[in-house]
Amino acid sequence: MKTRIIPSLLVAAHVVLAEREPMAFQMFDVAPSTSHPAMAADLAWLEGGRASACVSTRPEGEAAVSAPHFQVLYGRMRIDRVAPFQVDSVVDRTDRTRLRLGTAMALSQIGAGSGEPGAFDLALGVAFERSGTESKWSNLKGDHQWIDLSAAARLGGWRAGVVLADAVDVSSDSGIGSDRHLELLLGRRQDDGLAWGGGLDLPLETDGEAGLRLGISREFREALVFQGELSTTYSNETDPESGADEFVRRSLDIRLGTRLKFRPWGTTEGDSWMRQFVDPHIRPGPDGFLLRGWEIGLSAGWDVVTGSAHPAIEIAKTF
Amino acid sequence: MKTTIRILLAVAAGVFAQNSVYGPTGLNFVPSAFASEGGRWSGSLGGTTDDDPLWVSSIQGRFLDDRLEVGLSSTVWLVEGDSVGWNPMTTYAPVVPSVKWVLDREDHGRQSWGYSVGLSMPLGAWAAAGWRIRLPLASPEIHVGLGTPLNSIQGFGGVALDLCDLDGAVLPVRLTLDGAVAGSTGTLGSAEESYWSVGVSTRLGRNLTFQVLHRRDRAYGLVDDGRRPDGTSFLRILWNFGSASHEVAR
Repeated sequence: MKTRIIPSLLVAAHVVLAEREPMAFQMFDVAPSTSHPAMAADLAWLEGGRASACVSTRPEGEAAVSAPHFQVLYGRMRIDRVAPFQVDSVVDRTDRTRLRLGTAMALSQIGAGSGEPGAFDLALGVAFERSGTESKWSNLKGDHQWIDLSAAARLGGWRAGVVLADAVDVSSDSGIGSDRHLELLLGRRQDDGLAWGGGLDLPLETDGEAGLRLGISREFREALVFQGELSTTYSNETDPESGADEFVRRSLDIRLGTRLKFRPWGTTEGDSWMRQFVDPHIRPGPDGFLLRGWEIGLSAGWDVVTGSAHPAIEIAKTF
Repeated sequence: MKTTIRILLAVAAGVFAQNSVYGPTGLNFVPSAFASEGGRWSGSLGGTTDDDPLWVSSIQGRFLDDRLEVGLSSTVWLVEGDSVGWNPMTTYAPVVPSVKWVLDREDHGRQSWGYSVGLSMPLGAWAAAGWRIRLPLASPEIHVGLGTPLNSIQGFGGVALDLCDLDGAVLPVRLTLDGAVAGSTGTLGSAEESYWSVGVSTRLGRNLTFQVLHRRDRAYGLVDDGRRPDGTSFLRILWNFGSASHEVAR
């Protein structure tokens, strides 16, 4: 999932940071209610498909399709590094493309479990990823392909998972190193629409980054969703002057988002005014409902250290 | 002692006025996801405690079964990052409009969840979700939201804590902590406001609330560190009146 370019090859350190920024679809991947599962193993339990397109001000464009047992995600982004809190002060530009293909299978789906809702189940997932990065500043390009392995368990509303990121290094250009690390996730999805979770990233490389993520999501009337996530990363670095090892915070990000899901309004839900938003009806007759199955979302991430913000708009269709 | 408790309980029979400095009902500066309680009409008047005071005032009314709140405020923004530093901006009278719409409220026993959207300065169009739980000793609530006036996008949030007696009755002391982080979208320039604030409110009677606030704004690395580098303190009087509110029905 993450690519790290070896600094000793004179690739700027900020390129490394840019590579670690999550794509918009993965901004809220800690809570179990995420729209496109970031952990491939979770694909086994998807109950329906979802196709999304997302744009933001970076500029950035992403498209994703997730369905039971399958996911494809493609994104292009341009990351400008600017002097903190100054406008029009771009000092570097990094273009990045990313492709992700994922698949998963649960034990209950091969006859090894009851498959009953709420019963214990275990799923295994595999994701192939390709990341291409080009720094305009250094004029260097890097291409990296790797495989993530994941396992997830669920019991009732609880979800737990582990991801071995960059488990298999398929190929990489000269100058691109492995960023093998372990991601541990634990979360719960409640019947009242609340979902929350936490994640821990443990580096498996000597100069890797450790991370902590906390996320929460609340769904109102199965139509309005509000999500939030806090993430921070740390690395163990050696002070060039004193030679002492220091635990340095590399990032602190806040992400917030909201979504409106257009869906059929149930006959038992009453004739609330909110029906006009959730299930707009523009013509008489059963075919007069508009936007059923569509979603629109607005989200943003703030880098608290530098003050930069990255808003995004997502349009999605469930199937 | 008994007299003191009787007075406290008598004061506790009212509810806090919750006008934020920026207008919509909320915490100190950020809006909340719930409609305010108490009287239909509410207002506030206050100012900073330094030698060059900023005067802030607001008035709000609630309509349509408390789903819609319409207000006016005198505060446009308190900090704007520009080429000469921080530039507070207020108006002499409350003429800055704000609208808040409570989209949904769900009550599950002691817990309540809410979702609101609105238009106000300096957040622009915003959405917020909130949670509250009633406990015997203290009743906390949390609000989180995001908003954009197009040239920036802001995340905001805060917590409030109502102190209670051991039976869950709210005492006339309310602690609030909120903050916001903003970043330029790069589309129409930069207007960034990032801060945290802490406040203490106490009821002076059934309809009056007194609030003390302190706010710290984040330095943006500008040449001028701002007119108020040690933060800004406010004293405010808030009031509410009118017919009792209706609970927002699901």
